Amino acid sequence: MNTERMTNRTESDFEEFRSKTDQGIPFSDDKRVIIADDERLLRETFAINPKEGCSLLFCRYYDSLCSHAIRFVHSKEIAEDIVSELFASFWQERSFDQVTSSYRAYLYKAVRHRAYNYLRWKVHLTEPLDSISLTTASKIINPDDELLYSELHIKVEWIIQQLPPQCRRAYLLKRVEGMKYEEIAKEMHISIKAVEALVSRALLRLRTDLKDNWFLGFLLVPMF
Amino acid sequence: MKELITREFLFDFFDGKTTSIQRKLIEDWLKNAANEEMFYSCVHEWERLHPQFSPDRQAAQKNFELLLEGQGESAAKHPGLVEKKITRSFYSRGGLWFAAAVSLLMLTTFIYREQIIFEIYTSPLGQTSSFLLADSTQVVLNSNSTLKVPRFGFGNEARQVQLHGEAEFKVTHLQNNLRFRVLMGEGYQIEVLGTEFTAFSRASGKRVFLSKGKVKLELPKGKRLYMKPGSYFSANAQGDFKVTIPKETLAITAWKEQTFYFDNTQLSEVARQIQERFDVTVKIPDKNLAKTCIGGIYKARDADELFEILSALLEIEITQKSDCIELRTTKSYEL
Repeated sequence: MNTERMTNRTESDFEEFRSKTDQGIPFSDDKRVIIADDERLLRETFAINPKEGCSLLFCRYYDSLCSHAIRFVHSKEIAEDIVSELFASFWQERSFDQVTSSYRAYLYKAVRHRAYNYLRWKVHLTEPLDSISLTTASKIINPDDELLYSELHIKVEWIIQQLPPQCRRAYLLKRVEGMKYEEIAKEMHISIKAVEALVSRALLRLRTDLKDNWFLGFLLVPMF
Repeated sequence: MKELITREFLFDFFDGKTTSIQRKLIEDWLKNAANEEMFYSCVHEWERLHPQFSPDRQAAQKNFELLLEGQGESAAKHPGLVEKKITRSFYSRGGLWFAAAVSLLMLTTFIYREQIIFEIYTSPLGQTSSFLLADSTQVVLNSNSTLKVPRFGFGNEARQVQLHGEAEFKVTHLQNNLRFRVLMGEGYQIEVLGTEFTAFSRASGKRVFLSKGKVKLELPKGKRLYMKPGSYFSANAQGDFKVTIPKETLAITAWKEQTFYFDNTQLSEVARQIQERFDVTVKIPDKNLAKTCIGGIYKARDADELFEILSALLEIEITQKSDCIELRTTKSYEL
């Protein structure tokens, strides 16, 4: 690149700039600070009092993390448990010391990992899909991962939408609402056995559709 | 291209309304690491605009505060209850009957198959035994413990062992990076490349202590943990677990020297450890006696040696009944 002609600066002046953009950091550093700036107060709190920081983090992100989790796990109770456990280990392992991105990005990534693991277990996938350690997740970014997680919950929703209405209704009442079989039978005016059959059918459909269309590119290299 | 990827664009993607062409645009946009922040910022905002349900944050926050103060258990209680209910109803109709019939038939053949397929290492009561596995992994087994190792194919395609009891592992790191797995039953599984750790798997719960390296611990219901050196995982029989970093590790490693480590330990707990290590049932009918605490480090190669120590420490009478040992106070209990 012939920079001498463009300006009166020498090439060495541009060296620093070039290496920064190669790293993916945008030219104007202020832009990056603005995006994560809404967490500045959180970061400052963590520096002084991590307990308080965790508490604030919980208050701020618990609800929407739960909402995000339930898109994968389809159960209110499981979603709440996953998020609570996430915050618990966040505190116990002092993950806040190792987070390089925003807390928001870390937490959402972590919730997606856990929700995905649960869904995988629920759908009895036998392929050994390992996921990378959460602390390294923020350093190694495979662009496909974020999209695949999003597409997973979109896919799950699509599968449920394809179910026949009665089937879908029974499934949602059982899994998401956590109602008992007797209660659902009463509400839908059908027998308990019929409810069981509907729910099983929905789960089976989830199982087969996810297995068939499973993201083969979802093999993340384990980092030990 | 940067101008194309707006907040609304991402929202459409999250809603599943974008085309595969648009998806490719986002994928390319995400190759720039700095855009990850914006991505998750939009995920968060999207969730806030389209909440799926309203969780009980007050209750959850209260539990969390307790945990921060060091008074709560990690919130792993619910999944155990919920999932047990779900799986039970799943198998209640027909499935269980069928499984029972088939398993009865297979049980007889299965018992013999085990001896052929697995090499079973055991440690006699009151002794620890060392073994060297085919891949040079060193194992020290505590008394009353068994380790099942496949006779064929171990070390070539898979390194997987089953543990019941307690053992210390020094796993060799193989050239081909083949994982070493320890199955502890009930959905608990340890996975390592090459590390040193202690594992405990009995009816009372599961425990793992990591000395060196990294461990991936798989828990029931698809959960997993990654452990760092010095961390100690313990789970009770109900599935509640916690991970701590103990300053005093003597309690965890004492068994290797045929030693017991008691630190304000109740006698009922001592009785349980005797049962686990020596397979001797101990009953303490007197509730006050059962709650008496003792402390110290004691070497005992069998139950009798430990009972001798106990009778020296406390005023107790040790009686041998038909199927168990009973401990009673000799005098009236004095404070």
